[in-house]
This record gives sequence, structure tokens and C-alpha cells, in this order.
Amino acid sequence: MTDLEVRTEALHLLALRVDDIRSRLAGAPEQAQQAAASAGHTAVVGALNDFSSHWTKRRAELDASLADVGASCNAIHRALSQADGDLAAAVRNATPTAASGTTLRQAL
Amino acid sequence: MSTLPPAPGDPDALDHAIESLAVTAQALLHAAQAMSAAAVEGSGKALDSTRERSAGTATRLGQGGDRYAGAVAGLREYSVVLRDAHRITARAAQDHDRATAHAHTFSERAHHAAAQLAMIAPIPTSTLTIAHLQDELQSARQGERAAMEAAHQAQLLYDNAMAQLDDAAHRAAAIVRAACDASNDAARGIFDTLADAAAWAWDTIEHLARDVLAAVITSIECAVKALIMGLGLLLVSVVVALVVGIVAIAAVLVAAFALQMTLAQIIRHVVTTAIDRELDFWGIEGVERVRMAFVLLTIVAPPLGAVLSLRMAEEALKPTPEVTRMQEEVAAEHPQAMEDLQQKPDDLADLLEWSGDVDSLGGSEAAVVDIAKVVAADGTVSWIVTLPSTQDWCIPGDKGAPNDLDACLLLMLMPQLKSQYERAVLEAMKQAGIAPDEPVLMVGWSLGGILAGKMASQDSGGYNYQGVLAGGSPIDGFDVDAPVLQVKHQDDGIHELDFVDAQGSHGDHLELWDGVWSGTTFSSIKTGNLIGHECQDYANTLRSHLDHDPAINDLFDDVLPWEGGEGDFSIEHRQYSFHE
Repeated sequence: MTDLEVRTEALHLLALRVDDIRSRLAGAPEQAQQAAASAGHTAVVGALNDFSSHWTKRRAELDASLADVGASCNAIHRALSQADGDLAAAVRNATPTAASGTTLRQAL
Repeated sequence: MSTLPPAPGDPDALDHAIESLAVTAQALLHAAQAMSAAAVEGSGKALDSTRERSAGTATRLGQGGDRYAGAVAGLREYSVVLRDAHRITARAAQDHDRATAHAHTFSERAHHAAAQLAMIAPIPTSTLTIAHLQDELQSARQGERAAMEAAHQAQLLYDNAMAQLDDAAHRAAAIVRAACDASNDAARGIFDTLADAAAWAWDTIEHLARDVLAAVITSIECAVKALIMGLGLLLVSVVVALVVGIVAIAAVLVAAFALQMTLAQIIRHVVTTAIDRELDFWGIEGVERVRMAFVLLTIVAPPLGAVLSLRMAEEALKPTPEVTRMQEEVAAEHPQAMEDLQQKPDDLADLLEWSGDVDSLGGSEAAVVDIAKVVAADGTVSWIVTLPSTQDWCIPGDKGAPNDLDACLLLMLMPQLKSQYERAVLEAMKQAGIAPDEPVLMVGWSLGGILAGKMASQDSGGYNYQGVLAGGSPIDGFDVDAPVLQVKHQDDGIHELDFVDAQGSHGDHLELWDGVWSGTTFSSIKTGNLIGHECQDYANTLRSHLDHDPAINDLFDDVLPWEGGEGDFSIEHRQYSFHE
């Protein structure tokens, strides 16, 4: 039997951070383009264009990994929150005492 | 506007963009740090799995953060130099503009002083003024030099700032690229690279195929359009060329025909004139001239001479055709000709037109002779016999009309003999009831005129021939003891076949021409066709002469009493027909 100790709020925060990073990555080309537009020198403009265009696939892979992590965090958060609620209800119905809070320690 | 352009770029906008990139860099690095640490607190299989994934993602996030951070670092260094460059170049441009303006002002002052010095040089002037102007000139030139030096310094400052900016740009680019090297797509593993290469190759092939196909389709479309346009242009060109060609060919043919006719006329004149002279030299007159020409022709072309001789012999030996009144059906088929022949003539030209009418009635299968009985107011009777011209040229064979080539030959060469044509005419005159003492006017054109002249000259049949009216007929060799009116055209060689061209009018023999020989008054008279051998043209020529001289009508007043007007005679036509 494995010990389960989860801070669901941390999972939720991590998912939110992942979403923020993803949106920033999505705007990466536009940021590089704005910088290139105001640089005023072809050498800098060329470097910024490479900065944006040579990181297309890896950025896509990173985005996919982030989406995966975010989805996992959200799924765990939802599942554990649901399980926690269900267990709390079951405990309330079975015994007069019940555990509550954001930390659940139970031997499975 | 300054002569030195401002430095490129926008430092404020660049700083704003750099800050945005910096925030992203910080976010990526913080997220990477968070994920690599115990971001997912707690324990459990799901969390363990998530943690494993987060670790890989954190590594990638760190690379991305480094990428952004490196770009930010390079851009920040560049931004500082860019801002300085903007400040320095703006000041340099301002100094340059100011120095240039000063230099211009001093230059004008120097020019002005130099001009004043040049102007007062020939004039006696105080040395003080000259010295003042020289000082002014020197001062202006010094000021100009100083201003130009200041402009030069400003230009150097500007160039230096731009050079520093250029260096900074390359350094920044190098920093950005160095920061990106580790995370560039190109730095991936060999399998990923191969997969990307394969994908790129596939995309390239797909694009190439699509582009090539599109190019091929476009090329085909262009080719089809070009082909259609080409065909259209070709069609238009062909049509234009055909039209132009047809017009050109027609013009060439007309010109060639006119040239040929002109040459033929010239040759005819030359040949006939030469023959005429030779015949005159040898004293050959009358029909002998025609015979000598025929002998010459036979020498030059014996077969032709033999054939023509045989035809003449055959013509002379043929029996006299049966002569009858012309059938009503024939008259019905030629209403216009019959209408002409039923009307009372207004002048001699009408009589000549009758020659064309009998040609129409007879055609090539029969000869039709019109015999008109003229009864004057006093009861005296006279006759007009109108004879047809050659209607059968015996090519390819001899047809029914006795007024043919054979009759021509016999009439011209052997007038002592009577052709079947002449014998039939005499028979018709007999049937018409012409009495021996009644005046007869013989009318005809071409062959009809020849027979008319021949019969009149020989008193053929014992009739009282009182005139011959002929158009385009070679009858100058016939000695006619009666008034003769010949109409001749200059371009017509037929009436020259007797090798007598122009005898001129003499006695009661009248010769009327067209063209310049028609007389100064009538020089406008011309024939209607190219060769001038046409009955209606001869009638028109005669009518033109009559319009100017109606007295010509009186030439045959023994036959036609014109003087008294329409009521002085009546006329009755009869047509006789015969064929061989």
C-alpha cells in the first residue's frame, strides 16, 4: 500500500503557472518581432529572427509537455478533490467524526 | 531636414520589448525552477508520474529561459549603445547643420567682399576701403573654414556613433545567437534531425510538386492563351494578307493587261505600218495588199496558211443556204432587238445599232439579215439591208452561222468569189422584193461592213447600191461608187486588216474616228472597251459625231429622206434567216 500525501492547492497553482507559461510561449514570436522592429540594425534583426524561427519545434514540444503536465495536475486536482469530498460525505454518514482540510492522510 | 539622418531604431520601443522578453525569461526560469524542485508536494503514484514529466519539462523550460535571458542580455547591451547613438547622432546632426549654415553664410560674405573688390579694382579708391574689404574677405574665409571644420567634426562624431552602434549590433547579435545555440531546433538529436529532414523533404517535395504543377498548369494556360492569340493574329494576318494580296494581284493583273494591250497595240501599229510601207513601195493596191500579207503569213506559218486556204475553198464550194423569214419564236426570244428594229430610225447611229440587233437574233447558229423598206412621202421606195458580223469563229468547229471566219477570209482574200453568206443575203434581198433600180443602203459592222462594202463595190446582184454604212470594217480596199460612211476606232486593229489605216474623208466617203483623230471639237470621243471593236461603241462614236454635226445624216439622203422630219417616210422591217 502506498502513502498518499497531496497538496491539491499546489497542484492547482502549478496548473495555473503552466497555463501562464504556455500563453507567454505562444506570444514569443510576437515579442521577438516587436524587438526586431525597434532594433534598427540588420544584424540584430537577423539574430532576433533566428531567435524566433529556430525555436519553433522545440517550443512546440515544450508547449506539449507543459500541456501534459498541466492536464495531469488538473486531473489529479479534480480527482482528489472529488474523492476527498466523497470520502468526507461517506465518513459523515458512517461515523460522527470526519477528517477535513486540504491535507488528507489515509492508509489505503 | 538635416543632412545627417537620425540613427536607426527606436530605443524606447526596444527597451519596452526587452522588458517584455525579460519578464518571459524570468517566468520561464522560475517555472523551471519550480518544476525541478518539489513543486508537486506530497507523495503518490499519480504525483510521481506527474513529477517525472515535470522534471523533463523543467529542463526544457530552463533551456527556453536561458534562450530568453541571453537574448535579453544581448539586447540590453545593444539598447544602451543605441540610445547613446541616438543622442550623439542627433547632437552631431544639429552641430553639422549649424556649421554648414555658418559656412554658407561666411561663403556668401566672402563672395560679396570678393565681388566688391573686383568691382572697385579699376576705380581709384581709398586704400582704407580696400583694406576693409580685404579684411572682410579674409575674415569671411576664416569663418567659412572654421565652420567647415566644425561640420567635419560633427560628421566625425556622427560616423563614430554609427560605427559604435554597428559594433554593438554585431556583438548583440552574437550574444543572442550564442544564447540560442543550445536550444535551437538544429541542435536536436540525430534522429529528430533525420525526422525533421524527412518532413522537410516531404514538405519540400509536396510544395515543389504543387508549385511545379501550378507552374505547369500556368504555363499550359499561358501557352493556350498565346496559341489562341497567335492563331487569332495569324487568322487576321492571313485575312489581311489575302485581301491585300488579292487587291495587289488584281492591280498587277490590270496593270499587266493594260501593259499587254498597249504593247499589242504598239506591235500592231509597227507591224502594219511596216507592211503598209512595203506594200506602198511595191505599188500593191486594193485586195492585193491583203493577199500579200496572207502570203507572208503563209511563209511564216505554212500550216496556218494551209488551214486557212482550205477553209476558204470549202466556203466557196458550199451551196447557198436556204433563206426564210425569221421565225416568230426567235423574235420572241429577243424583244429588245425586235423593238429596236421596229422603230423608225432617228439617225444613222440607230442603223449601226441594228447591226448589233441582227447579231443577237442570229447568234452563232444562224445568220439573220434585216431588210427595211423605206417609203418616202412621194412614194419612192428605198431599202436598208443590215448585215450581221462574225458570230462563228469555227473554234472548235464550224457552227450554223454562215457569217463566220470562213466568210471573212473569202471576203478579204478572194472577193471575186461569192461566199455562201453573200449568196444568202442576195437571196434574202430577192425575197424582200428589192427592185434593181431602188436605192439600197448596206449597213453592217465588222464582217457585216466588209460584206456591205464588197457587195456595193461589185454591184453584187445588180442592185442599186446607194450607200455603205460600216463600223470597224476593213473596206478601204473596195472601190465603192456610192457614199460610204466608215466609223473607225484608233485602238481597233480589225479595220486595218486591209492594210489601209487612214485614208481620210474624200468626196462622199466619210471617215469618222474616235480619240485625237475625231477632230479637235470631238477629241473627247472614246470607245467604251479596250480594243474598241464593239458595235455599240461604234454606234456611240457615230452618235457623238452626229450630235456635233447632224448634217452627216444627209450622206444617204437618196435612201433616207431626213430633211422633212418624221412624216416624210415610213419604214417596214423584215428579217430573213439562214444557216449552213
